[in-house]
Order: sequence, then structure tokens, then C-alpha cells
Amino acid sequence: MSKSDQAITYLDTSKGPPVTAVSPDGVIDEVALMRLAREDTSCFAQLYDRYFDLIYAYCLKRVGTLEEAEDLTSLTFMQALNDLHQYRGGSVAAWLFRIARNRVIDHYRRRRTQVPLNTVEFSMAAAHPVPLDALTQAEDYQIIRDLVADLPDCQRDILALKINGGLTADEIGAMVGMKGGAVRVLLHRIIRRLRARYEETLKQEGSS
Amino acid sequence: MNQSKLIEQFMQDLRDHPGAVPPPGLDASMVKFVRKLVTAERTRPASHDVQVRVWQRVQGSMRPGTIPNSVRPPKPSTNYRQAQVNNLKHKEEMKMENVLRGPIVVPGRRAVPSLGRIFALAVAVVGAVLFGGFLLFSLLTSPPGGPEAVYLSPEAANQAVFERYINEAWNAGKTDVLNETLTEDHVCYEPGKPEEVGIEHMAAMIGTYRTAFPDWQFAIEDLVATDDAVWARLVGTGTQSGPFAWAGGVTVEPTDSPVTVEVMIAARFADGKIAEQRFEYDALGLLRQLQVVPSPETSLTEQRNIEVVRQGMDAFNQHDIDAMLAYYAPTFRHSFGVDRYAIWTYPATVERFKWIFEQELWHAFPDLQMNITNLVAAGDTVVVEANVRGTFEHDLTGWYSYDPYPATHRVESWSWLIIWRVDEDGKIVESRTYWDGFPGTY
Repeated sequence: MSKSDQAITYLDTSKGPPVTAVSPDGVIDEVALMRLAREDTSCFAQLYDRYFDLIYAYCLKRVGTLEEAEDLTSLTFMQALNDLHQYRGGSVAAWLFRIARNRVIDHYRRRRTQVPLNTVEFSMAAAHPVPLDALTQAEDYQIIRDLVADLPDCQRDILALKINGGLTADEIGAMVGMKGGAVRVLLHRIIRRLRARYEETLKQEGSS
Repeated sequence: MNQSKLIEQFMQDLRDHPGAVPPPGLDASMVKFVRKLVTAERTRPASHDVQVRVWQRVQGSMRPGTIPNSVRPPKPSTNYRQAQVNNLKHKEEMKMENVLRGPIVVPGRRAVPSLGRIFALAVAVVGAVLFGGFLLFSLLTSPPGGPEAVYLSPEAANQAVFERYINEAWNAGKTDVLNETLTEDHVCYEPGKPEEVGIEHMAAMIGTYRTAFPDWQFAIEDLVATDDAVWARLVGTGTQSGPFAWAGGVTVEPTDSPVTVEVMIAARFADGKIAEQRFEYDALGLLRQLQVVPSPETSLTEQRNIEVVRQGMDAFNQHDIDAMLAYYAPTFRHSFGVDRYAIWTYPATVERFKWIFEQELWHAFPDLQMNITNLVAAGDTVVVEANVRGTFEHDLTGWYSYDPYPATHRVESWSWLIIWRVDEDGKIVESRTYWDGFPGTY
């Protein structure tokens, strides 16, 4: 057996497919899955499958280094596993992201006293050496990232929940204590403001 | 639906498909910015190692015996191993059944089993059980890919070969594996490209992709295996941080764009190896994600610009200056460029424009018509080559040259090359005309 085989115990599929909560039309009932996960950890594994990428992307966007994102994602799922019995229905995504968000907030509180770590290049639209025509585009993305970085923390959080976490406005609302409609309007306002600043920046660069 | 809702919906669509078409009704300039924002803010997905490490930490706080599918290492797959075990069990059961069925009783002969026969039967049973146990033991303890492959059904063997080909050759870039997984006369069919024979081609193709997308990964989403074929649906993801050699000698310079492509592969097997592969994938979508091919929204703008120019030229042919000016922005520029009698280069005023057409051209050529012979649109620019033809009945008073130009009373025909620029609102902001002068004036 290879090293990774020894480290991981496989899901035993010889006794049939894993227990899951799939409705007749193929949609996974996450609420039922959460209930099952308390009894059968293979259901928790399915939740991990569904949400790992989103939670990781959200943490990475919020903290900025791969190591910290990995830590926070681990802590989020560990706490979720621990707190399964505290889940009281409603959106599973919102429940998981609330845990992740609290972890991020804790992390910031602790880090305030620490020296900032070296941030690594993690963005999809990263700045590699590129030819001239692609350079403009890379610069464009960098301008936008800088503008987002200048936003107030709560606005950056909402953008990250939307873009990286993939949550709907209603789910974000459930987390931050706002109505879905209000989140949509806020999102619209943030984007409008970003766009105005972006155009301003382009104009300034153009004139200089 | 209001703009806030449309923006939210578009952001959600972009998350799922980077090339998503915006919902109808969403403000066009907003579409551009939201697309940029989502692309700029997206992060690279975690590597498989990270996913495994995180899971191991989580697993430390839960009961053992379970693991999410995403964390499974690509090889060996559970199905593959399970197929081996099932196959072996089935074979052993068949053997046991044959042995236990006992001697065949022929009518007319005594069918009393002799001591010798009972002994032989007992030996056979014990032998088979021991042999079966040995085989099961050796199968479960030996490393994957070892001699137990002998017990694979043809379907499972084909699936295993295919998975190995994808995971090692494509995902890890180990093209040596191709010698073990493809036949020497392997044929590759790709949409829009000629068929290619040989392993070398596949190595080159994988090399091309891994150069362009060093993080290229294929995930097998669906797979059906038969005794001579594997059909699979894969999702390929990668970031184009290297040059991408497309067909026909065209190379896409690094764009750093993340791409997601769904690929269907129909693979035919011969002698336990892949003998033929047919790739089907959304090549246009891939090029769009790399921003080499304009998105539908850009194409639509170009279509609109062509329409504006055509209608403007229709108004020219009807000699209707007001209809013509309706297609121009209030501050348009107009110029005639290269003629050796170079007449005006200026920001043209509307009055001047009216004078050129109404007092000069249409007056001198009452039946003047312009016909498009060539048309190209790109971005905000439309380039038209047109044939202009009319009977020169009245003198030109000063538009063509500083001096009056006498009428020839003949049908004259010449060419114009016009470059138009159309703004976001669909109004012409610039038209520059290059031409060769009237025939016979050189």
C-alpha cells in the first residue's frame, strides 16, 4: 500500500452506495443530510465534498495566504463536525459560512498583534510575466483588486461571500442579519462605487 | 427584474461558467465591469494535497471509516479494486459449483459413489478453497497494478487503462505512460483538426496543453466501459500561463485566464490498449475564455455597428441628408484622406457635411449610388470597401478640387474605402474615406 492509502481509510462501498439524502428528482436535501451526518460520518464527508472549495476560496480571499486559508478551512470543518447537533435547519451554506466567517474574524483579532506574513500570489488573474497585450488586462485586474482592498471590511466580506463563497443574497442576508433584498441593493451599490472609482483611475492613468 | 437582482444573478452565473451570457436587461457597461470584477477576485482552487491535508485534520476528530470522494487519490479507484474482488469471487464460486455438482449419473449404470470418488471430491473441495483463499489473500495484499490484473474483466481492465492514461499522462504529464496505454497505431480525432496517427502525436498534444496550462487537470465526471470501448465525460481546468499552440500555426500568448472545458472522449480499445480516441469539446468556448474570440456580447455590438453603417449608407443612396445625419453623433469627425488633391482634413461641421453631399456630390451626380463590395467589423470599427457610381451631369464647384471640376456627362465609377467608428450608443463618431479619385483625373 502506498503512503496515502495507509493514511486514509476508504469509504466501504462493498455494502452498497453510501447513505445520502437525495430526493427522487436527484436534488440533494442538505437539511436531511445534516441530520444524517450526526449519525453517519460518511454524510459529513459528502458535505465536505460540496463545500470545501467554496469555504477554502472564501477563507483565501479574506486572509490572503495559502497557509492561513488552509488552517481556517480545517478549523471551520472541525467546528462544523463538532457542532452538527446545534444545526437547527435553514440554509446549510449559510450555517457553514457563519462558522467560517467567525473563524476569519477571530483570526483577524489574533493577528492584529502579529507581524503581517508574506502574502503569496494566489489570485486566478495573477501577475505572471505576460506579453504587452495581456499586460493591460493584468493591470486592469490589479486595479480592481486594489480598489476592492480599499473597501471597508464589511463590504469586502460581502463581496467575498458572493464571489468566492458563491452564496445567494438571501443566504448572505441570513448570515449578517439583513434581508436578501437589502443585501442585493448593497451589493449593487458596492459594485457601482467600485466601477466609478475604476473609471476614475483609468482616466487618471490615461491623462498621466 | 431590477438591476440589483440582475447583477446578483449574473455574478452567480459567472461563478458557474466564466463565459456566462448576461441576463437580458442588465446594463451593458455593468456587464463588462461585473465580468472583470468576478475574474479579478476569483482565487485559484486548492490543490488536491491541500484538500487531503485538511480532511486528515478534520478526520482526526471523527470516527474512522469514511472519506469524501474529492479526497480519494486518483489511483487505485475503489471501483477498479472492487471489480477485481468481485471478479475473483465470481470465478471461485463458479469453480466450487462445478466441483460440488458431483459426478454425472449415466442411466443404466450404478451411481453409487466409491470411497475413492468421495476422497477425490474432498481433496478437490479443500484444494479449491485453499487456492481461492490464496488468490484472495494475494490480491488484497499485493500492490495495485501487479499480477492480479489477470483477474480483471475486460470492462474493468479498459476502465483501469483509461483512468491511468488520464491521471498519469494528462494530469501528471508522464507521457511515458502512453506507450503502455495506447496502441502504436493510435488514431486521434479532434474537432476541426486532421486525424493524427501514432503515440507521438498524443505526447505532443498533452505537451501542448501542459505547456499552456501547467496546472491542467482532467476530472472524470462520467465513465462507461465496455469490453472494447470507454466513453467518458471529463472536465478539464487550468490557467493559461504559458503559450498555447492552437491549430494552423496560431499561438495564443499567455493570457493568465482560468479555463474550464467539458470534454467527451470516445475511446476504442484493441489488445487492452486505447486504439482510437474521438475528442469532442467546446473549442469555441475555450477560445472565448482565453479572450481570443469575442464573447457573444462583443459579436452583438459588431453586428449592431454593421447595421448602423448599412442604414447610414442606405440614407446616402436615397440622397437624404437628414436621415443620414440621424446615424451620426453630434460631434462626429469626417475626413477624406489620401487623395493627392487632399481637400479637407478637419472636424467636419454638420453644415460642411450637408454642403458636400447636397450641393456637390448629389447635385453633380443625381443618380449617385454606393454599393458595398467588402465589409469587416471589429470592436467599434467597421471597414467598408464600396463601389461608387453615377452620371456626372453637373460641374463640381470646389469639393473635389479647389477649382470647379467640369461635368463629363458620362457614367463614372470609382472605389471608396471607408473606416467608420461607432460609439457605445450606436452613433457614428468618425468616418474616414480613402479613394482613388475619379477615373481619368490622374
